[in-house]
Amino acid sequence: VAKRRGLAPQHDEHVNVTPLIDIVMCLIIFFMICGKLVQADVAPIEVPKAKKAQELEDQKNRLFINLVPDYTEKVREQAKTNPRVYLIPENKLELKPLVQIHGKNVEFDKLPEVLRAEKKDNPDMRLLIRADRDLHYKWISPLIVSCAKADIKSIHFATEQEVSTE
Amino acid sequence: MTPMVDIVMCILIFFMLSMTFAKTELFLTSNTPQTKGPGTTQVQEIPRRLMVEMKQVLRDGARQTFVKPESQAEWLPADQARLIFAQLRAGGLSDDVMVILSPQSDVPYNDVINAYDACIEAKFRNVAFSPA
Repeated sequence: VAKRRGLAPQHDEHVNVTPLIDIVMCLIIFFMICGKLVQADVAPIEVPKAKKAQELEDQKNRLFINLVPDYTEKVREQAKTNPRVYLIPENKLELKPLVQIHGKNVEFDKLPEVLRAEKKDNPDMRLLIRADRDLHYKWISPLIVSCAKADIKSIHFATEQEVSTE
Repeated sequence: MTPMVDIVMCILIFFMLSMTFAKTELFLTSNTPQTKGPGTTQVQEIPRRLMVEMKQVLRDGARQTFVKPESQAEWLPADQARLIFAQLRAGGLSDDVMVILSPQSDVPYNDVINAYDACIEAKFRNVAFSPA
């Protein structure tokens, strides 16, 4: 119409953003799925600090065991005595931890059985222990004994990098 | 279209930043003695063992962990573990000595890992844990 009327042809000034949206959507889905996967295996725990810890090069055949301090029982007891005051347990060391594998709670007594089954499924399995730094050793010891019973030789303790002050 | 692109970009930036702030976790690898091969239970010959006891002591209202290698008479603070194990190695203890960390049940996991880290730093090749 513009050509017939002797006017200069009009160009479409809109930028085609469809490929951009496609890429961005793919990235969002990627980040969302990655976030979910990491959340399932790794519980939020304050792990100990160490100087000689290293990153694991091989990302295959890993089994995370999380020992998460269980505050619920103590908090419930405190709520009974004084429901208006929420107290943090004075000594969280005395708390029994929750053992979590693949995001699910596992009973301490059933650990050797569960680990044996995992080892049977994957003989090259490497065990990654993630335990709260303030937990008593009495809660870590049964786990190490269970690993020995399940014939798991490759054990790794999750730590944070300790910054040297020297 | 522009508002949608704005929102999508905000969501993308949020996810990218939240992924960046996740802490990088490192691992201390166990170096307990390995069996000779599949199906065998025989542990390789260990020439010598060094038992290291660990306990908690209430001092000045605060709990503190102490360590005592069997070769020494006195209990020493666990925060000096690096120095203690380095001195043991400097004193002629060979790196193939099997160090057995024996913490009491109430010793915090953090102190056990610190002692284990100190053993690795002192280049002890065989470190084991005894049950609580």
